[in-house]
Amino acid sequence: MRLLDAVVQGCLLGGQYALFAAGLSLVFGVLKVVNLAHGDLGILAAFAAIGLAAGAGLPLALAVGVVLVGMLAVGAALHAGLLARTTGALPQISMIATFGLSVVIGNTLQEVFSADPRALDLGSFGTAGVTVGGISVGLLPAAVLAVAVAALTGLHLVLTRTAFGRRVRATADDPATAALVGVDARRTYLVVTALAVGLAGLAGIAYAASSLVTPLAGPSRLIFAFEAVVIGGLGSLWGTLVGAVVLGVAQSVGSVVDPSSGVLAGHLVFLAVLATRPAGLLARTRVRA
Amino acid sequence: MTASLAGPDVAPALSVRGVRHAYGAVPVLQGVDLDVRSGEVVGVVGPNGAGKTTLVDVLTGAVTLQEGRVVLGGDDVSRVRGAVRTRHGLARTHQVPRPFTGMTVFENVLVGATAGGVDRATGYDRAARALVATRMTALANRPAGALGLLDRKRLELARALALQPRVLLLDEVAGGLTDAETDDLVDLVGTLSGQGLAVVWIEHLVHVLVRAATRLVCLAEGTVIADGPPDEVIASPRVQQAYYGGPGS
Repeated sequence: MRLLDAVVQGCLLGGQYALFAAGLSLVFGVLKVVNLAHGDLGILAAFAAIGLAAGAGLPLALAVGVVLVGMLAVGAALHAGLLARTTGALPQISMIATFGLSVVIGNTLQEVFSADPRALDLGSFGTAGVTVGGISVGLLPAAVLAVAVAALTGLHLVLTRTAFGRRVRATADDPATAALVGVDARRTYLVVTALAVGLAGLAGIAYAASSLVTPLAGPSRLIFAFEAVVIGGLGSLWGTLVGAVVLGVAQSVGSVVDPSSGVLAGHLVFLAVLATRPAGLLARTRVRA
Repeated sequence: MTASLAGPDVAPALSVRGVRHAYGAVPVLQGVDLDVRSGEVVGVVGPNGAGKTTLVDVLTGAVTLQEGRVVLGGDDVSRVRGAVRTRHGLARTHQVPRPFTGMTVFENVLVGATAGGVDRATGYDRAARALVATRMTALANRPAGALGLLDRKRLELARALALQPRVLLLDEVAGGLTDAETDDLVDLVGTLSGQGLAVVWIEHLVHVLVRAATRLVCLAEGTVIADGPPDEVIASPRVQQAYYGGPGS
């Protein structure tokens, strides 16, 4: 029973990782950029929401809405100000640039909010739960998983069913040829980056609602997101969800075996997948497919 | 300015004036002038190194124009980015086809057909008509990555036609095709030009162009050395000399 409980909790935890991983996967799949500031952007959104809700006294829903819209703008600015200037150069350049941004965001947050852990207070909803067959399921983690599945489904539908999605896939495949059939690659990249950072914001807010956050928590979120993306298969949206759930279950089951080894168990599963299936578990269903 | 150069009728669909281009110290185009009117199929030939590929790059905006002007349907696009030139009515095919391999044939065509604020119904209609024109309808739902060479070339053509261009640039499109496939292509280009499309066809297979083109232009060492009916251009001593060397002007 403890094991089954751990698997259920791990699946729910996977929802949070999937939200972080979705944007990372999207930007990598389309711009071929590994955004090392992705986790920190999520934490930025988390602290912005905490600041607006707890500090400025805004209603929670309004604070979250304002932050999410703000994160879309941050994403657009990230592309226009940083990524657009580094694409076409060596891929390492954009990695170094986003690494620098990661350091700046983390330390600025620490300067403004201090290093104290904080959380986004959802009131009774944050701790409410139901017990199904002896297993307790928290409403909040279930909601986060549902939001993650909805976000990935929405992203999938946009990419496969809309003209914008076709432009994104064409640009991901061959930006020069996409340009020749009238697709503005710069604009496509900008919108994709804005969406990805918006997703990072959603993930950061979900994280801050579920547990305590510190200003320097970004890199650990990035690592989990990165592991989820790699386990699932680079550039594969459904793979990202599967990878996130596998990682969550590994961490959760690992904690049952030894309470201090949960994260380690996740890393070991990541390494095992990398060693045996380097293309990921669902390598076929690509973002481009 | 363009109107005075275009003659009394209408502005040419494509007008190239005084285009010069050099890679570092090496001049490649040394003052190219070219007018292509609606309904014309202008074949561009020339020995290796004549500047054909650079001319394509200048027309499509793949390289930044150093000197001269490119005018599409009366709009000076010399300083316009390649992605935006399609909106001025220019479309092209690649020498080596470059389909979006992760998409179906229909989706490939739809990307261009629905770009630039075209509404959904119009875009789908354009895409469908481009597939009919290139006889690709039976393959519409195939993944483009699974197509053979001929079908990839037809897809390139369909994708270009879906943009509803006024000027179509064909870059070495006949290479690797059988005689029957080439006949098909020549027929298709003839039909399209009959509907008013201006075609610029760059090709090293001169015999194909002699059949397909209404006018032939020969480039050598970065300038136009002959421009006229295909038979006359092929027979011209300057063209013969450019291709085969020997004494001449």
